[in-house]
This record gives sequence, structure tokens and C-alpha cells, in this order.
Amino acid sequence: MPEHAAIVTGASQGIGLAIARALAAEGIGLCLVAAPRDHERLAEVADDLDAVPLAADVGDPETAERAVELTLKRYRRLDRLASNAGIAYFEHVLDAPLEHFDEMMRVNVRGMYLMTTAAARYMAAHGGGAVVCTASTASLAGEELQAVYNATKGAVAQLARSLAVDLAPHGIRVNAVAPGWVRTPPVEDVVRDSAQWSKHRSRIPLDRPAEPHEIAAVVRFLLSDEASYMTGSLIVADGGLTAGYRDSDWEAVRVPEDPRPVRPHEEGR
Amino acid sequence: MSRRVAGKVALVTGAGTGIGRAVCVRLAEEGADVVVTSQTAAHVEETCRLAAEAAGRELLGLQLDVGDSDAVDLVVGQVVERFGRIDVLSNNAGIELVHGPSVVETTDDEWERVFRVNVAGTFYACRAAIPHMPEGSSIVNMASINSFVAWENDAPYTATKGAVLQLTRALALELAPRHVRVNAVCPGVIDTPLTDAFLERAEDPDALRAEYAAASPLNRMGTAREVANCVLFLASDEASFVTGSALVVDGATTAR
Repeated sequence: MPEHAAIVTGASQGIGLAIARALAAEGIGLCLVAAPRDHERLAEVADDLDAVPLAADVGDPETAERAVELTLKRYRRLDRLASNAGIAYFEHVLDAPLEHFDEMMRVNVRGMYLMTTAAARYMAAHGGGAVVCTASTASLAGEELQAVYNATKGAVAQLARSLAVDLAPHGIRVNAVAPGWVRTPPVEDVVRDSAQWSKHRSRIPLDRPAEPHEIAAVVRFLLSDEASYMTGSLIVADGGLTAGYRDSDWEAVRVPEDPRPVRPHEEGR
Repeated sequence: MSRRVAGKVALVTGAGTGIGRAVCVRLAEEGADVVVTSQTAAHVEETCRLAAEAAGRELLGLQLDVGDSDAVDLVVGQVVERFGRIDVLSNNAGIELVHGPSVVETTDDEWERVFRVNVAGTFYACRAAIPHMPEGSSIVNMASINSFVAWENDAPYTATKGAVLQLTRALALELAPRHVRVNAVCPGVIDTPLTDAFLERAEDPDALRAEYAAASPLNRMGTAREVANCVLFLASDEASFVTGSALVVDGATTAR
């Protein structure tokens, strides 16, 4: 029986999959949750990592309850949660249909709330635990074509902080990770479009998107006992994106064949 | 897990007591070649002894006042002569006016002294070390929750910690093209000799200790080792996409 057991949501791909792998490598028992449409991929991942799969909508209260039950049934404990499931539509706020608002709020905010509180209710009564919510640099700033997505991620960051305050007396730490650009399947499409990507890339000081395992490493740290005095914190893992002002290199958009002309201030380095 | 900073050369300032000392122990435990520096020779010796015990081998210890830029250059030169490079720079040297003067009571000398150690000292160490830091290196500056929030009668310290965080961000941008990461750790109230100095001066130390603990919803102060764990994480390759960040380790003190 493993020493720790964790639930990871959004675990079939991208950051969630990397988190699952990182935790599995530490011998942590896993219950992996993903959307019903991803059930095949989830089954493969769960098989690979010897984890319990649950393909269900995180916006449904029963999903969180079921995840807790499945985790306890298999591992007889639950002391870690990586609440990571999230979806995004990138579109102009004046053109966005209300259905997309409802869908993003359902997964990113309602799902986050249901999963964290269901897990915390068990942890509070059983010796505490640690929770990490996947926020975003979108929690921190306004970005074009992301009004609703950023509103949901702002909510995630504030939910994590408030949960930290409420749950501290119960021995539960709650933190958030705020990734910038990460090479996940949806971002891969943007990265491949050099006209699009050159615009974003020019604002990332490290000059590349993160690999999912680099975000998972932050989550692994926050969930571990190494971070025992960290709660209510948000670790930004964005390659320096939000540390300073770097104008988007809009010129690069007009020359898609050349991914990135040398910027004047970088000459001579 | 294998040792997390194995083979890295780590220069640690303010390593004589408290957080800096715990950083030395933690980095040494995880396989780094740690160079211990502090203004006080006896403290250098004691930290070297503790870290050597943890690491199972001897460490280089050097006396250093980070507020003296010539001395900083000299020490960096000695480290580079010995090890050939610096992979981790952990800046912890910092002072605070424990008698807690208000702004109008603060003298020119006090203001200058706090800025010289906390801000100039961090700048001197970074400036001297950077040319010797290869790709993949990491600088971790000790900021504070005072980088974000203020306390009464602590204006010079608060101003310096704001400066340290902004220096950190500026360096992160400048060094990103060289693939050197720069981050800040922002502790809340930590049980260290500096905190003891405040407690010793209090009319009712027990009441103040309880007040310090209650600042966090966890209802306790943090330990130096808990802060050192955060420095270790940022120093290691695990944090490979984290740069220009402020890692707050305050038990949710500033979350509410």
C-alpha cells in the first residue's frame, strides 16, 4: 500500500498527465480523472501508471465524490490533490457565445470548487493533506481573446488562497501553480503556427514554452512535505513572462518564414 | 530521489545563522559543493561544521561583508579559483533595525546601512558572480513578504525587500538569454536568531511570540529549514521554467 494517495484531474494529457507521471514516479497511489470524451486515453494512462481511472465531468458534484470513494477503496487514504482540469476557448469577448462562458466556468471554476472541497472534506477528518490548483498567468493579467478564460483562472487563484485560509486549521495546505505557455496539445497548434507563435514567443524571456514536466515538477514540490510552510501561495512558472514588460514582437507576425528577427536590445549578447 | 543539486557549486551569503545556515545544510545534503560566507568568522566555522556533518565532507568557508564590493569580488575570485564556476548563488545576507524606529526617527546612517547590506550586497554578489555562472545556473535572492506588505516601524527593511524583489525580476530578464534563472524567496515570520532579537527586546516576549505565530493561519512560525527547502527547489533543475518569480513561504500570512 503506498504511503500517499492522490487524485489528479485533467490527467489524460498535457500538464495533468505530467503531474500523474511525476507523482507515480514517487510511488504515490493515483486516481486519475478526465473528461468522458478522453476516456480511451485516460484508460491507457491509468493502465500504464497502475492508477484508478475515472472518466467523468468535473462539473458534476458526483464526480468529485466518486473520485474520493475510488481513491479510498483502492488505497485506503487520500492526502494529495492536483486539481488541474481546465478548458479554454480563445475568442473575442464581443463574439463569444454564452455557452462557452458557462462551459469554462463549469470546468475551470465549478469543477475546481467541487473537487477541492470534496477532497478537503475527507482530508480535514483524516489528518490533513496538500492541494495544488492549476491556475495560470491568465490569473494575473488581461490578455487578448481570453477575457472569459482569464476570469475563470482569476477565480481559481482566489479560490486557492481562500481555501488555504479556511483549511489551514484542518492541516490542509492549498497552493496554486501559474504556468505560462506550456507545450500541451492545444498550445502545440499555436506553436506550429509561426506567425502566431512568434508573437507570443517574443514575450517569453526564456524564449520557449515550458514542457509539461517542468510544471509538474512545481506541483510535485508543492504537494510534498518539503513545502510544509507553503500555503496560500501561487508559484508562477512562466519563463519570466510576467516578471517584466516585453513588448510582443509584432513585426515577426508579418514575416512568418523567419521565426524571430534579432531584437535591438539583444544585439551584442 | 537522487540528490537534487549534486555536483553544483553553490555560493551562499549570510550563511552564518538562520535561513542562510539552513540553506547551506540543505544544499550540502543534496550534493552541492557549498561555499559558506558570513561577516562573522565564528559563524562561518559553525555553519561549515554543521553542513559538513550533513554532507559528510569538508566545505570552504570565507568571511565576507557583502556591503563591501571589493570584498565580494575577492571572495567570488577565490570561489572561481577553487571550483572554476558558480552554479548557484544564494543571497541571504540581510539586516533589520531591531529597535524599530519610525521613519522620522531613522538616521541617515541606519537607512544607508540597511540598504548597503540588503540591496547593494545582493547587487554586488550578483554582479560579481554572473560572469562565472554557466547556462542552467540559478540565483536565489532572499526577499520577504515585506516585498509586498509593510509593517509599522520597519520602513528601511521593507523598502530594501521591495528593492530585492525588483532587482530579482530585472536580473531574470537580463539573464534569461544566457539561461540563468533568477528568483526570490519571500518568507513570512520565521523562527531565526533575527526573530529572537525582536523577541528579546519585547516587554512580553511570550505574547509577541504568540502574535508572530498567529500571523499565519497555520498558527506557527516557519522554520529556517522550511525556507531552505524552497531555496533548494529554485536552485535545482526541477525549477527549470521558473524565473523572475517570487516564491512566498509564509503559511498563508499574506493570503488573507
